[in-house]
Amino acid sequence: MRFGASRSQLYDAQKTARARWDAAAETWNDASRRDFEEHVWGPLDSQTSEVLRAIDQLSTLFTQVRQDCEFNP
Amino acid sequence: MPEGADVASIEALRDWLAALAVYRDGVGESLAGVQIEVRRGLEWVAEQSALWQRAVRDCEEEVTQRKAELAAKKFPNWDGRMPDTTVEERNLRRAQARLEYAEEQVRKCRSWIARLPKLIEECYTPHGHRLQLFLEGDLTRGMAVLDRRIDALERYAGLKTDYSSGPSAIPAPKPEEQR
Repeated sequence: MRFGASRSQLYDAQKTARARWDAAAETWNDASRRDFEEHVWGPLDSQTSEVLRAIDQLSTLFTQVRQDCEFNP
Repeated sequence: MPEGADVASIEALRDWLAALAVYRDGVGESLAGVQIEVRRGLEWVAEQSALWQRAVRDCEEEVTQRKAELAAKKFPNWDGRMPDTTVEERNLRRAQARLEYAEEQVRKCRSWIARLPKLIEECYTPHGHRLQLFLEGDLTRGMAVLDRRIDALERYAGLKTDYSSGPSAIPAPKPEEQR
């Protein structure tokens, strides 16, 4: 129940993809780019951010669980 | 009238498509990793609960033993005086406290075991599931569309030896139209 590795992987992947998108968008400026941004990249990026926040909540939740339940007689 | 393509670098688009494929795989791995950790977490709480239940049984035995020790001491000495049972009473109180603590921990574990699935469902599952569906559906389709568009641009660029940046039409015009 350690979510750090998965979170880091997702965060790093998003960061890299954002940089690559910015680079691509500089050379691509037409209706298909706007369509791609609206229907593919934008939702993908925002849903990734939502999952990152959800992982943070999971992490907080399981920290509480660990504090409450860990066997330490 | 449809807007023409404005692509300064087909290579940059190819790079972006490749980066997107890497991103898709990375996100998929990350989501799978979270699922594994969630499952481990649920198993971990069940394991802790079992350990605390065993501790309760051990503590109950200890309380029984301490009570017996105290009872055995509560007989008058040869001179008719009651012996000092301070140590036995203290040992019994400590054993009872350990038992209460272990019982409380069992209650906490059971409470988390009951509540955790719903809390996970509320805070994470819909987001993870939605992103997974997006990867498998919209993203895969979007990448296929982009791939075909890049193919079309490459075919068009192959026809035009002096291809350079700037607005152009998609699909690529026939060779005779370029003259």
